[in-house]
Amino acid sequence: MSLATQVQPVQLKIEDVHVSFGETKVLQGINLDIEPGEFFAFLGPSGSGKSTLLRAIAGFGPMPQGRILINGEDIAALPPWKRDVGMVFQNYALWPHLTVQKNVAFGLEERKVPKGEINDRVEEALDMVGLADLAGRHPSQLSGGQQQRIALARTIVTRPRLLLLDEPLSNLDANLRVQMRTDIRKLQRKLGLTTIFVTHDQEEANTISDRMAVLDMGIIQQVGSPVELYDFPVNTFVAHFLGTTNMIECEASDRDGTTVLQAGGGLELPLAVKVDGGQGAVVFRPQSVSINAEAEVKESVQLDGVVDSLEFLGSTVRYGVRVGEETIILVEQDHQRGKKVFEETEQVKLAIPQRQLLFVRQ
Amino acid sequence: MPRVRTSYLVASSLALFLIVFLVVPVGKVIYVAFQDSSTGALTLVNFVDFFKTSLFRESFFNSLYVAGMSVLIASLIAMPLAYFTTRFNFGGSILIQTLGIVPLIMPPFVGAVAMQLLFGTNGSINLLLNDWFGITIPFMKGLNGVILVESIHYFPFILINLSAALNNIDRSMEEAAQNLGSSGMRLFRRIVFPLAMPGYLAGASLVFLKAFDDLGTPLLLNVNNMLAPQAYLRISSIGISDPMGYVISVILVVFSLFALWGSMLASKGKDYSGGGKGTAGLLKRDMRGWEKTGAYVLIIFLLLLVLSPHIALILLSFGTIWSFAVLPDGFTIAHYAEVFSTTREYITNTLLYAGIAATFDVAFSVAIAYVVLRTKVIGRQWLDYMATGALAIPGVVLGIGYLRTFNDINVPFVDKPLASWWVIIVVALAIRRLPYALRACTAALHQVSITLEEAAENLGAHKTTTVRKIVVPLMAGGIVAGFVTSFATAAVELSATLMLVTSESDAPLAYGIYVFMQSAAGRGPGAALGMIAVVVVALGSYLAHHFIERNKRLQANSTGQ
Repeated sequence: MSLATQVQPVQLKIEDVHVSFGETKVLQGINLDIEPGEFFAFLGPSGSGKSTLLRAIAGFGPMPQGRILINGEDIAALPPWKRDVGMVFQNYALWPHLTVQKNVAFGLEERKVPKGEINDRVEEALDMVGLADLAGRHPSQLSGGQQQRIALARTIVTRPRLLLLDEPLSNLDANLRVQMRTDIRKLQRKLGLTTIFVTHDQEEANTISDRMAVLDMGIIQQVGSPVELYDFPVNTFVAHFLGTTNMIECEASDRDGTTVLQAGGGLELPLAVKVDGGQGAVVFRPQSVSINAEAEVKESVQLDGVVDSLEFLGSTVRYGVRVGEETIILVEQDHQRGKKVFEETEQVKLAIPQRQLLFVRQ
Repeated sequence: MPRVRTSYLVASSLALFLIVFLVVPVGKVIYVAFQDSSTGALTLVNFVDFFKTSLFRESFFNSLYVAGMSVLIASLIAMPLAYFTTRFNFGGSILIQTLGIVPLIMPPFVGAVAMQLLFGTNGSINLLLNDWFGITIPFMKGLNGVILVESIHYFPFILINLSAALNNIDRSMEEAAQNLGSSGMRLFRRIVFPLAMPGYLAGASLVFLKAFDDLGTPLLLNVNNMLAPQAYLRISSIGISDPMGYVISVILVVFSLFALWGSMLASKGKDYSGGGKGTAGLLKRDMRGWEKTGAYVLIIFLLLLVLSPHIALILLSFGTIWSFAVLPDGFTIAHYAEVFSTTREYITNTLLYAGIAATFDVAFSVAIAYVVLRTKVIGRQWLDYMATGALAIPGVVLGIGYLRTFNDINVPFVDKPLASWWVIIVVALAIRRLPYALRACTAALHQVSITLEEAAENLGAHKTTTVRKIVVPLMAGGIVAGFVTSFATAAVELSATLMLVTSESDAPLAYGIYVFMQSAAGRGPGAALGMIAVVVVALGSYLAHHFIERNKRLQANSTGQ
């Protein structure tokens, strides 16, 4: 059986998992369903518990409470070596005393695979990551990118049920990172492996994953596709974590059948949809705001403001526009040659389409 | 869970061994010191007797004086050397590094007698001084001799620790002080000196401990009014029941523990090495012409001083008759021939004993390091404490403890008391050198990233497989270094051996040197044996260094950095 033969991908179900380091609760009630063949990302800042969750799936760290099910079988109490869950470590963890060939063969030797088959499979795995000619080297003779590929080959050669990647790109330089991202994604498609990827970089998670879970303080804040999370964050943490956003604290109240959001300094924003009243925040992306629009923007909130700051980023210009006494609204405008760039202290008119306003509770 | 049971099984057998061969004998010694020798009741009367006897009071103060003065002289040698290498771009640094190693490859007692022929009242130097200037200097008279020998041999402890401390100071510390307007001596006193202090104290307390506990050097220099020789002489002449030997042992242990504790306290929580961002090491500058000349003169003088025991030993081992003369009358290889033909068992015994002890030490150390660093066995730290605590137990004390504890235990088949069976010498050597091997193995295991083990487990390897296939091979450099260090130092250990050797046929090299050096006629062969010991230790130290460096390179290149 070749490595590339599609195997039946597995489903992973995590039920009410808690992990504590002594008194510190690192994971508090994680529930998650990861579908067969899915490329799933755990996204969160450092200390959010994302790595702990990944390590719990591999069987490292303190014994978790709750259940971790692969195709319905609870693996939470199994030792790491009985799980058949492949993990690529952040620092690659290649054994410096063994050659590339020996490193990659290790898992097959532990599985008592016949010698001839080991050689074939190692060769195939090395081929797959494009490094078949490096089999005789030691890890210290490889570049960071090569080590990364060997670590990947060492894991997939055993045909694990799951592929776990712990910030695998964080030790690579920027160009290589983009290249590896694409390569990993291609490889995952080819193998049809259910894969979990841990990262703190939202761009990385957006570009590589089918779906992701955003974690903070040991709790899953939201699960969804990158687009869903970007467009419909459920709270201010998710909104902030996934890209630049405007966020203004406000109170929602009903006025003549429409919901109006009242913020400090007399700022009022009518919503396109009805929500229940109460405290919260209004969230909208900087690029959804237009500045001194020539045509009238339909169903939009009009605001007068003064340019407070500007950052020229090349393809876009980002303005901070002061509206009222207390509020700065970030505005991002496409830029091309000849297009006017507003100056600081210039009076401008902002238009925010009502459909772009999202009311979240904190 | 089977793996939990295994780790407890390993941990408890390690603990049992340490308790039987370290804690119980030392405990016995302490207990006897507080026991009335006729009634067996607990009492302080032995200590009162000790301080009432003028010889013991004198010995006590002599030992303190010798240890203190050794620290002082060793500091005077080490400080300028450390200063030269860390403050200046100086070509002589390589010489200084050599200076830092050479003395350590020869145990002090080996060179002690030879030193008398160079520095004694009728030694080469004084004969020359008398000829040229009509004066003599009592370098080797009484306690002076012990102080000279100890400080020449142990100053590298200060040099190494102090240089490391100075080199670890982040350069930005000094630059920040300069930026805030500090310079020169004031900067040195307020910033550099306090930052280097922990390193200095760590080295100084080791020198104190070594000089305070040393038995061989004073015995060979015939200085008996010190604590360690008194303990040995009381037990060997009056007998195992004499309480004074035990009282002295307790005092030795207390001071050793105190020195060890001091050195740990000095380095604890004061790891001033930079956060990794800045450049380590002080600002260096080139030496001016006259500074360079002065530095070289001083270094060559110190080099000669430090090499003098080696020079003297070589002369003595090849010399025919050397008495009241600057150099021996003639040269011969007869001493070496004699040693190899008549007393070969000293050498074979040494290789056997030190080999077994060192093998045992590394096996033990790997197990202890693994249990302490990688398992959750309750009380695992105590294994480390016990094994490291052996550092604070002078050889004399361990010897007395073994004699007292194991004299009544007969070994089956051999029909001898355990205390006089040769194996007990091996056990004593193993216990004495365990801290060295343990330090090497712990350092090696610290360098093995835990993810390397997790990666193996992740790929299906059981804990024991992981230890065998990943952990031990990666620790190999440290294990070899630990073996060689234990071996080389066990090969020249004298103080415990002296207490435990019951027949010459069971005796190792160090004992042989001691016996030969007792008589004027035996000095030549004794020196020849000494040279053999030096070669063994030098080879060992070189190999240990080689393997540590190789391991460092291997580890530095791993884990994708």
